[in-house]
Amino acid sequence: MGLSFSKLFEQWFGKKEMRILMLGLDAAGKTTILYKLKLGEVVSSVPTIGFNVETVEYKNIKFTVWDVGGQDKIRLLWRHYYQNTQGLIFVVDSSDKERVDVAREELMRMLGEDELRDAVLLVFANKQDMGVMTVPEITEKLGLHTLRREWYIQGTCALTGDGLYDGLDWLAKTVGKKK
Amino acid sequence: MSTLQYVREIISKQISTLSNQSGEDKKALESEPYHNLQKSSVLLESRCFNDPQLQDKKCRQILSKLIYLINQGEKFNDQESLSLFFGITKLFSSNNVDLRRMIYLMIKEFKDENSMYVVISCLAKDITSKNDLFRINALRTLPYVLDQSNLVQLDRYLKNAILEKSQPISSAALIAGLQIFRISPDFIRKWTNEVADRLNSKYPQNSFHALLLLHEIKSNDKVTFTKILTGLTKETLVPIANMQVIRFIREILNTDELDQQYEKLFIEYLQRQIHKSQEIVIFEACKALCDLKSLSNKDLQPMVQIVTVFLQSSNVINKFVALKILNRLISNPIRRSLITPQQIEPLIQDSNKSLSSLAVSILLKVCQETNIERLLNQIYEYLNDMSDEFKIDVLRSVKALAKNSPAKWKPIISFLQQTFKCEASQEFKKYSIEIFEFIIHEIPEARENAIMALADYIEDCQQSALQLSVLSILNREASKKQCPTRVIRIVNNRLHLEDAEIRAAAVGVLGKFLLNYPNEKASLLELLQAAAQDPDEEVRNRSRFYVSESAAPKEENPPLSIEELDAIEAYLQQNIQEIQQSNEEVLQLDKILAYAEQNKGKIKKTEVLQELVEEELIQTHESESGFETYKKLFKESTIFCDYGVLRKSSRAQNLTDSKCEYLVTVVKHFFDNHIILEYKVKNTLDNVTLTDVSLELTIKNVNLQFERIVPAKSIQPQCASNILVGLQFNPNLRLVSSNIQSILTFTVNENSTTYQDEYQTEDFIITYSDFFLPIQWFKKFQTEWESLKSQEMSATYQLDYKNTDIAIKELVKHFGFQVCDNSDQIQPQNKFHTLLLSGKYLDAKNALVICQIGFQQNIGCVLKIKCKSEDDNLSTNIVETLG
Repeated sequence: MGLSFSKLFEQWFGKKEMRILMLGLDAAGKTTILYKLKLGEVVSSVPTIGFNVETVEYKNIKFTVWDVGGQDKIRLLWRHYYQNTQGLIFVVDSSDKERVDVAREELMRMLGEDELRDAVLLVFANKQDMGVMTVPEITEKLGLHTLRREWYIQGTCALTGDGLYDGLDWLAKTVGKKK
Repeated sequence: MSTLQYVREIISKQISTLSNQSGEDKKALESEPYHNLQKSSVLLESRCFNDPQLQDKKCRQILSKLIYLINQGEKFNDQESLSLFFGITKLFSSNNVDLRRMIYLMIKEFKDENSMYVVISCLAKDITSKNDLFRINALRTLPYVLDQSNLVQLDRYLKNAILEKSQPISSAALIAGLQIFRISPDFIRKWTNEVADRLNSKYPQNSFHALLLLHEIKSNDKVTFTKILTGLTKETLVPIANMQVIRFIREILNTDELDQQYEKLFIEYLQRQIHKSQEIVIFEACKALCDLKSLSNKDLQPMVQIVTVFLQSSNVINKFVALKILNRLISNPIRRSLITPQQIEPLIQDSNKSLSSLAVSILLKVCQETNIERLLNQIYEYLNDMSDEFKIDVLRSVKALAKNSPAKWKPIISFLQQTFKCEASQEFKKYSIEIFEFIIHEIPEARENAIMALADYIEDCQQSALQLSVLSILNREASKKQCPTRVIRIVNNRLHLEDAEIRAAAVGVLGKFLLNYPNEKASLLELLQAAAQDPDEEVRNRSRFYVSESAAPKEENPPLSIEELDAIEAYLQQNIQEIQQSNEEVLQLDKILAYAEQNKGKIKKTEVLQELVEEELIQTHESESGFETYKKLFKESTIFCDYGVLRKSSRAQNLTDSKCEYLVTVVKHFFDNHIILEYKVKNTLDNVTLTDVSLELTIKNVNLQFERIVPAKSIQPQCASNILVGLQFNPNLRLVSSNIQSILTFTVNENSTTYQDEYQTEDFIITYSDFFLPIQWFKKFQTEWESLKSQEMSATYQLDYKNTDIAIKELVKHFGFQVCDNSDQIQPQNKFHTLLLSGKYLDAKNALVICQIGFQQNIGCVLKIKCKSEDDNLSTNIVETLG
């Protein structure tokens, strides 16, 4: 009984589901962000070989978050996960000045893909606690202003969790609006 | 296998749900539920893997269809397999247990997709999951997706899983270890402690898996593994582990280098195992005992008794295994006396064809020559009831019989003639013909009868393919001038009775007779001229060709046969020096032909010669800069010139492990009365220089004395240098053997500190065989023996070899001589075995040895040795070496 009722409820007031793809260069902090959101704690992680996938529930929305590894070899496989993506989270390491250009190139290449045409873009300027590059600096360096799509940048610190839910709030709002 | 089982399970589940819905279609579905499955439609369905909302059940069904297709041999092209694979990776977002299990099965099927590493993170997460099913499956799947580069990251997960208390998880990790061992053995070798820990697990399966993995890990370290096995022989094990221990023991026992103490222990262990109650243990132990050459027939008696009891078993599989073991046992001729034909005979009527076939082939091996005829008659009685495949099996055994008992060609030929009459496939009769061909080639005294039997067969043969193959054999034999002329009449009959194809072949045979049998020329010309009027063009052309060919004058240089080529090669080898001096006379054709005629049949096949030449080449290559260089060096050396001419150098022998800091090898150089030991010492350290490197030798034989040494002054890092030791042996002796113990002494110079050190290398032996080179004779051994006009030395010994097999092997090894006339092949019917050996001593003197080996109750192995050589002292020494 309990089961069938809850199913009914889901159909009427069902949770919204959202497919999120989280990408970025290696060591940007994607896996740490994922598990901070999922478990609320910081787990020690090794460089991701392949991907991790978890569902995170927030404000009655079920986010299915795909965190795909950022090493050179795996970046070539990102494209296999574009399909049906509603929101793209791009994680940048704010302390890595040297590779911010590489990050921009990867981002731009990705946004040119047909399959991601309708996806909204959320940029996490991670590792803000290191105090190297500020959010406006990163916005500038990634060239976000030139984009012709909905985007939002959020400064975060995965270790403390600062900014992560602000980002999800924006995603929920924006995707909800689209539907 | 597990994949298949799972698919079957799913299929049967589906059948049961479907059959509830509609009873009528039940039958059709039961046979093949996925009967009309199309790859393209399943691939289309599989697109739903990418849906944002997964339907677990549907996905699971599609996966089982995909696995079904793959197991049916369906292939996906690169594009299909890529998109399918990434589709499947998306299923990881579901946490449904059943679906996850199917994903794992599916991933294992994707053996060669090169982006498979993409799932590694997912697997690593599952390995640490709380759900045991996830953990086990992920562990077992991991080896399929790993490569060298990402092993290290997973090490911790795997090691933890091995030490896990839950038995299935630990076993899964051990099995994963076995798989990974193939990719990276060194990586797994680091797990020794964890795996050894599991060996004592209280769960039987677990310790079995640990044993398997430990065997791999210790594959380079036989000593340790032997100790582990010794420990296990004292434990009570579950049957499967017990069986595996026996298998490993067998493996170790079959590698010659086992310590005697262990060998005894293991053999006793095996002899205990055959009295166990579980069949797999008994059979495994019997198999292991079968292979042991060191056991006497008496030692094997209890084992044979137990196996023969199984022959009466009502369980077909047990019967079959017992027969297989016996078959394996008697593959060694000296074991044939252990079983009697009466034990096997009842089984040739067994309704199980595999059984009866094996029984026949065993019987044909063990039957006494006097019984062959009776046995063949008996087999013939059953032949018509046998399946075609089995009939051919019987023929295979008959062929082996013809090989082993050539003297019994008469009953064999008459059996084969009977086979032509029985109802059987063309393939079967073709095989009979093949055996005839074998007999024609291998048993000269049976040739004529065999050819006639074949010729008689085509008188009454309906199948043209078989007629043709017989005619082609006759054609070949006729051109070798070895055909009875009575064949002509039968072949000529073909011209009147058969169709064009066969007539043409028959004309070919007659043509060969015409060219090779001058006595029959007139009548053959007549026959062929008649054939020239044949309605068929091919037949006419062939007969005209042969008629004109016979009229033409003989060609100057007829094409050479293989035998002739061999003769020429042998001639050239014998006269190589004269030829090199371009002595034209030697190369005149008639001389070669005369030589060939003289040595007809005595000249070995080309391949044998080739092998000999190659072997010599290897030998010279082995000795670094070559024997000739050494010869020159020693001759010109001021220190060793008094030793005379270098006669022989041995191959380099390692005296250290390849991982040692100092690598030492030794080469033994032999002179008429001296031996020089050349030690090559390599310093593999980077910052250590060795100085005043010398040796201390302990020689166990008083007839061999240390004389002088040339030490190495210094050996730089990563460099090698030589130390030469001169030894003198008693001038009254030609042969000497001794164990040599050597200790390297040197000064170590490391970072401006110096100290004395020494290093004991492994011992080595100067053996009698070091003094000889094996030589191959072109003539028969007996001829050589008789032509050697010197005194014959002889002696009789009682030796502790357990059987003839071992005696032969050990004697050949002892002397390092060449076995002549295949005399190492045992003829079980002979009371004594005669082994013929020949070798060349240092100074190129030939020595011939005849060993007669016999066994007597109470005494054991008795050996009479006779020796002749060009030097009587040498002969005496050779005979005495066995004392």
